[in-house]
Amino acid sequence: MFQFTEEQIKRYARHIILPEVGGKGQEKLLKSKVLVIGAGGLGSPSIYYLAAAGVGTIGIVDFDVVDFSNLQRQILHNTERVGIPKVESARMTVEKLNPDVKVITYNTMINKSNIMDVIKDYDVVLDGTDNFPTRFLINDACYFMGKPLVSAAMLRFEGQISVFDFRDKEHSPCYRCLFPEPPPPGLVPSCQEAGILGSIGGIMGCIQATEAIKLLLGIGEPLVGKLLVMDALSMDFRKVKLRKDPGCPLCGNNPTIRELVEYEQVCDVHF
Amino acid sequence: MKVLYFAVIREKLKKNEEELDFKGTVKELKELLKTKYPEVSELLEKVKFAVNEEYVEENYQLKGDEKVAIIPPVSGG
Repeated sequence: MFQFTEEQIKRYARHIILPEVGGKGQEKLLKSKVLVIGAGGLGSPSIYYLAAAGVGTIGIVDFDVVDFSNLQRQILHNTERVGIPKVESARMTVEKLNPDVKVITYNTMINKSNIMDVIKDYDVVLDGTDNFPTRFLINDACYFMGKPLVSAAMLRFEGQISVFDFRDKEHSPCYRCLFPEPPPPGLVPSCQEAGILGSIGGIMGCIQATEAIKLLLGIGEPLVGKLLVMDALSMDFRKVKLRKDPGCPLCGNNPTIRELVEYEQVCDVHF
Repeated sequence: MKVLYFAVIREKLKKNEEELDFKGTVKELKELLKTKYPEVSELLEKVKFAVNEEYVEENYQLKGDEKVAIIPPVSGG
């Protein structure tokens, strides 16, 4: 039996009392390792809740520094920290919240040559990046490594999220089953071109954290084979069923992608 | 049938949804929309259509009473 300290029993009491979590589940969380790529609008709430939940190790990838324009939605950071690396700001916030969490920071741009090494030690990966080339790279790397991926994205008042559980490659669809390749540059607003209501990141990031915790605990039904599409203006949540595509270039019957491919970044990237 | 538009398509067409009198395959619906809305034709080509909350293949036969959702990818984080 895991020996919780008195402080831990108090800290996690509302988890431990849940039959789906319990002492065993809380122990699992404390022994879990989650990687969050992007400490921005999605990464802020997901990292915050994962830390509060007592996920024992949280890896955080981001190469950017905190900017005033981030603070409308990126709640891990604050005014005093403008100019410092986001991963450092994230670490400070997490350490103040929960000393049980070990934070591992990667102050670097994730790319074809470092991604496999970064994700290899983690149980679950969260994608909170802000550009298509990185999203495809993360999907492909998680597929090759058999890591479950919780992928969320947002624009204006809308959010999309799905779980690709590559522990079960035979059955889980992948991001490319949905979107086989990145849209041509210029076709879809990217990076800073489009606005985003700050709280949309809160909604989608919290769903990401919830899905990650479900995967770690093995409870409920994660969003595998489903794309959840949220429209905040009408506050409609739609779950669209997604099948594994036999013609998918990555996970289909005759895959053409057998190693990591890197698509060109079309503009500066800021999570 | 009801056609629902999301993300950048919604933004470009300035409408969330519309009623269409249409019977035929998803592929034919896609061609019709590409002609009707040339400003999103390239994007429509890249997006899979969902019928009654389920992604379908292009040869899926539409009877005319479905709800079709066109959901382009978004990349913001």
